[in-house]
Amino acid sequence: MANSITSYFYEGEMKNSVSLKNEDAVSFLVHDDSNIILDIDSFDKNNKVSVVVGNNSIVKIRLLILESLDSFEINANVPRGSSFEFIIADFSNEIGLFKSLINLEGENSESSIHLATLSNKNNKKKFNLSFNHKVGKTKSLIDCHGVSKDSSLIKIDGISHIYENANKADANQKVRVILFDKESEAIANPILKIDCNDIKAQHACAIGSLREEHLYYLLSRGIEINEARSLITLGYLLPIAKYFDDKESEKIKEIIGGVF
Amino acid sequence: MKSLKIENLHVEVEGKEILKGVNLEINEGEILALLGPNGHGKSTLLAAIMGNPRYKVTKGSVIFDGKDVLSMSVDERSKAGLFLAFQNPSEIPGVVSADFFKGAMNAHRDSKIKLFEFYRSLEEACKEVNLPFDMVNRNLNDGFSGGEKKRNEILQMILLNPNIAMLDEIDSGLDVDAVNTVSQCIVKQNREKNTGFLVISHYARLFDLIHPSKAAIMVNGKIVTVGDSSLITRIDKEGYEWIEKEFNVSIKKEEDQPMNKVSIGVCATKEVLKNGK
Repeated sequence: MANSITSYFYEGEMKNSVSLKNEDAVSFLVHDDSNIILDIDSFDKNNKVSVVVGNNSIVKIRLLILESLDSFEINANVPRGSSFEFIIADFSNEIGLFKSLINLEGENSESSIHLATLSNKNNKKKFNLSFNHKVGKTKSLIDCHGVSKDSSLIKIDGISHIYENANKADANQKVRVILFDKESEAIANPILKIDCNDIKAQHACAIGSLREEHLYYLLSRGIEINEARSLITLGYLLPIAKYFDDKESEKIKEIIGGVF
Repeated sequence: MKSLKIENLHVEVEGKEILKGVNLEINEGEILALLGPNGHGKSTLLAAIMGNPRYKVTKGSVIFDGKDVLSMSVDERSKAGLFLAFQNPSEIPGVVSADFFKGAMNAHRDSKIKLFEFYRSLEEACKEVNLPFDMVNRNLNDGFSGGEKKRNEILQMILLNPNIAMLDEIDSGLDVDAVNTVSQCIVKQNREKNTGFLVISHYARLFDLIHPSKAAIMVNGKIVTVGDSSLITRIDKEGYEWIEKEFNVSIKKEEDQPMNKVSIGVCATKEVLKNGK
């Protein structure tokens, strides 16, 4: 039996919430010259999303993930003069594979992925976040912050591919993961594929344990170890909250505070 | 009156003994100047008292108000009334200063501080150290200038009101006006709150402003003498050479630090696609 696709059409300026529960696949179609914010806060075990952005539009999709997912797959096409911002705050137990592929198809299009993920116990989270710069004067950013606690794993792969003739493309990948415990694990592969000379590209990856001198500084002011760890984690992951509304932002703070 | 007693303290870092039997006592209300050549263990002493995990105490005792400090965790030492103003305070991205201050103040109280009281205390402390109040919304020490970091240390001291405050080169990197401001805070804290101070500095100017009641000189990981503030004046005029003659010690020179291995490389990827382009 063929999977059914539910399509949502958006135009003008609006903010909307969407549930992916019981959906085989979902398609968001955004009209030209629109400014849309979409919040996705309930999911199916397996999720498929495609986004088609109109010319000169601004689209922001925000995910607050609190439940385990087997898979999440999103594909987006961003045309001339448009921007697509994808924000993921992940506090679920498990993510089998989270995969996003964003195609920058028109000049002066840009897109960014901001990910904050917290993994604890023996949870495993895998992300694959990629961009294709198909034409020139396009801009992408992958900005990931992860905290791995206990014996959990965070794996973040990503390929930013700059096509031949995509002159003046600009790709930037940043992945930072803190390992809280001896058994915590993180793997990150931010990869640049460059087939054009006249471009800007940078990638950076930092995985390391909690800096002892940071912890010592907080402890030296009387703050107990769990609170100190919580403060540092909050500081590390909380910047994601600024992309959300107050209610979700408070929820994120509450979740991080409750982990320690 | 609470006192901090250090007896025969031996401390090593990464297997190397830095402190070789330190004896020192500081009481509430006193200001003790700790002087000595670079690399002879002054900062190590303060870090060991505060419980820096890099420093291993191999022998000796530190007793504060009759309690064994060495058996306390770092946060317990702070709650017991000890405070260390760091020479190089950590920059902690993402941790908002106000959240940190509130957490620290609550740790020193039985019940949580009320919001109004917290902001009033913070506002007054900011005025005292001459830091703009909006600094409290910035990340802790992140992007602060050297002077701002030092004043931020003093601000925390005011907020936490310790019995004994240890200041590690609090005047380094400060301009003349900032040294005056910090000195006024130290004197006020000492006179009004009876806080005792253990102060490391290489400059007589700070000591001229805070008027230490005692001075101690540390050489080769030991306190060679404790006296009044005339010791500071003499060292300012004559340096440390006279110590060798009068106390029959040979001042060890700072060892050359081995250079870290540095590698410079290129980080870029160019992959040829499967179609051969």
